[in-house]
Amino acid sequence: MEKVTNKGEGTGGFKDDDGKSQTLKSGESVECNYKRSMDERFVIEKIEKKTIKKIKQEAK
Amino acid sequence: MAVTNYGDYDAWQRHALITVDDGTTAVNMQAITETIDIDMGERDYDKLDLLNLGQIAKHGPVGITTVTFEGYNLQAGTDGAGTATSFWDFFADKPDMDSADPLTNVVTNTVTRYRVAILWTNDGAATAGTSDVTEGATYAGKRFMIADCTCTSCKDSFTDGVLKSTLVFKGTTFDKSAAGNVKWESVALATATKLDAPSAFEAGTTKW
Repeated sequence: MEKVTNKGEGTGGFKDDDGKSQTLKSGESVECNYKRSMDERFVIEKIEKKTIKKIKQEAK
Repeated sequence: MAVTNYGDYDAWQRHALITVDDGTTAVNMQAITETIDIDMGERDYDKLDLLNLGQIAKHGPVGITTVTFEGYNLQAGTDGAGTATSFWDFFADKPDMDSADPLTNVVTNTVTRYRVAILWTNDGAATAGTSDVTEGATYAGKRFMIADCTCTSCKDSFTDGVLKSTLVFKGTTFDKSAAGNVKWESVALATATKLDAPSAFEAGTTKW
């Protein structure tokens, strides 16, 4: 799962890796499967999977 | 058509974006390309002549789709994703054979499957053949894509005193499951809708 943000100026969209059409206004983000961006306006950030151990560590 | 600095009033002209992707690396070729030629495979068509002088149309399968680029490039390859600096390594192996200067690209027998995407748009923020076309009544675009095609030829000529390269991609129009490998898509100004960027290409799995 990735966090994809529209860094462009207008509303745009892309098809994620599951074939689903995603629509994002400028600055908006969505979480979906999208490993490789086909447009540099859609910037991908990896969502870190938190382990139970890490969640417990953060809670301390 | 909207007034743009590309002159796209009533026809797409002068300006196009080209992206070739092998599923790992995508490179944009518009900065080294002068011409694009898309030759859709023709459907075989014949006739049977009957003795009453009537005729029956005899339909055959569709042919191979060919995309040809002519361009001018200074280098022997491209060193990574982004802007292509040569045609050669598409034919020799993959979009970015060597990663640093000096580029040394020896031809291989690898047959890489590519997706070629060509976009005509007046959306100035689009930078690749696979770019999205922004929503709004001022933006329009038209995109051609062929998936799972192969680079079959890269020829260079210096007969006119300038080193010109001709690059040819060929692909079957359908895959083995009879799903189409060739696609055109567009958005008109009047509809004010967006044209999605395609999914990331994965040879044999995800076409667009």
